[in-house]
Amino acid sequence: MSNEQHNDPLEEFFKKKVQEYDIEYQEEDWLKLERRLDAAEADQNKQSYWKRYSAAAAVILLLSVLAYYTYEQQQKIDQLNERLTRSEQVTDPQSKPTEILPEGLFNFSFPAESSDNHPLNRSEPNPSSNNNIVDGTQNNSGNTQREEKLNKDSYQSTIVLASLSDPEKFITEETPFAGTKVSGFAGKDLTPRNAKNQFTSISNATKSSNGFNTKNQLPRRETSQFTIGLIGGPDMSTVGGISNFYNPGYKIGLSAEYALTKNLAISVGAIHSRVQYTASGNDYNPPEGYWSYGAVPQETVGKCLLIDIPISLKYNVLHFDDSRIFASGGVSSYIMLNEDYRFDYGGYSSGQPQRWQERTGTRHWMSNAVFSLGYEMDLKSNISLRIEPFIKVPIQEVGWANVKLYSMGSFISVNYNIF
Amino acid sequence: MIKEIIQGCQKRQRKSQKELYKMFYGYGMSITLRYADSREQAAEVLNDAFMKVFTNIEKYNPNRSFKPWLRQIIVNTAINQYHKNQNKFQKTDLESINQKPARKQEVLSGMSYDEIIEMVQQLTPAYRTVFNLYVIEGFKHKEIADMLDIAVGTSKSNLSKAKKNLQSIVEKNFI
Repeated sequence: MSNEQHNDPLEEFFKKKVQEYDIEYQEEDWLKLERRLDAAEADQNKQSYWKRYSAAAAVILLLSVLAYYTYEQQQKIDQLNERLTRSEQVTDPQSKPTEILPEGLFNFSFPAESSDNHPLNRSEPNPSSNNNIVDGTQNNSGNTQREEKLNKDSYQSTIVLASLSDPEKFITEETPFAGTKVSGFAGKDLTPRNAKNQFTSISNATKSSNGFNTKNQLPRRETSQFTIGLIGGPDMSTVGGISNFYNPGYKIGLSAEYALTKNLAISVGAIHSRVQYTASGNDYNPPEGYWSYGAVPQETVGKCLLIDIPISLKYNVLHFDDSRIFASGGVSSYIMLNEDYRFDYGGYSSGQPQRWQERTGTRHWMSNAVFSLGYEMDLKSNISLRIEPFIKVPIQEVGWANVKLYSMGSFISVNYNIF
Repeated sequence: MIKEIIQGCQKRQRKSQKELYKMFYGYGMSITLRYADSREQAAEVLNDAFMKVFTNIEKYNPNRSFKPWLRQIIVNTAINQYHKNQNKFQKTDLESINQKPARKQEVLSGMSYDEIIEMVQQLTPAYRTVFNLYVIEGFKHKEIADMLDIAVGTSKSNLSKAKKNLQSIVEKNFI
């Protein structure tokens, strides 16, 4: 605003006269305004309710999906336990050979039990045993009886190992030592390892039966190391903090993913994005001196086109039969294609420019951190669909106006496993 | 007291909103009347401005004086109204002003506030807006040109014509 003196008498006269106002308050004008305020408030409440209901619906949906999967898994576990129980019941009364097995050898319910504590690891032979299977490490113990039975023990060990790999077959099979009771079994060099392997195998089988992914169930996950995807989805952006969102923008692009292990993959993308946001004066920082009259706009509406280049690590957290839940984290780099800002001065206008627009092409490497949690569903053996809600938080300021850009949204992608 | 009222407005309390409105109604109307064609239009612009005030009250910095903040919102709202109505404006030239019937023959110093406002309202919106912004609000021609999206020369020309028209109105009607 100018401080220059206007010496024109007419100007001075008007300037002075307009200060001499005496305007009476009109209730009618307030009532008009009050009606508008009521309408605006009702509209705001409606939006607020809609947001709350949407959030509640999303939470209910999520909980329902989780409950369904939990129920399904529990059903499968119950079925498996039932089968195992039946199997044990069938074999128990008939076969003495089960008695020759160390206690707990086929205790499937505790696959994680430490081998150190497992009866298989007992190095001390059971004194009550008449036909102990001799551990190779015990051969130098001076026990003559054991030395004499070395050959037989080796044979017995082989049989026991066979039983580990196929217990059902073993327990129904006639063996030379059927009916003998072996309670001391200490094959340190062979048995614990094999037992452990067996437990792992059982554990995997259990998992498999429970519906979790195994190598056998989804072979494509083993073989598909390189995946490409077509990505799209909405983008909600804001600056300064996660609030005050403007109209949604969009993201569309391509991604490439390389599997480092069965569960871990690295991915990179090139995503054309339209980012729209509103910024208050404090969050919008154009080059120094741009606000030539000192005042800043109350609100700036930014509409930018950019290329988003995310690089992230993806980890499969949970596997289901033909789907999985994954989490990913990484960084995004932005290449600004076009920046368009419109300024609303509201309360502090003083002849400022109304708009700034330019094809800037500036690059902001690793400007945002990206986190996402997604759900992937196999459509075919080599095609999958992913829904991946994400959040991007600023590491550094971006754009001509140096804003801290937050983005939220959800990638929806179709992915193809090339090899 | 004003701080308490503003705090109430920030909590969307209708009572506080009304108090603030009443408190600054006269001040606000004294601005909008100069930019509007009529009292009704002035009240409408004032209400538009207060809607902005109430919906953006969180952005008000309590460390700054409220009155200048309100004034700038009102002036901006009036300018927005000027842009909106730009196509509707019908040029009112000096001749049409001169066709107005003669009023009281008084000297300038004896003119009332209402008469002054009435004179200003007789100017075309383009002349009136530049006159208000330059003479009353104190903006420079460069700033006015930016605000109204016109050339600096146009701003100067409009001011000159506004003053000439006002002098003519005074001479015709009051002297």
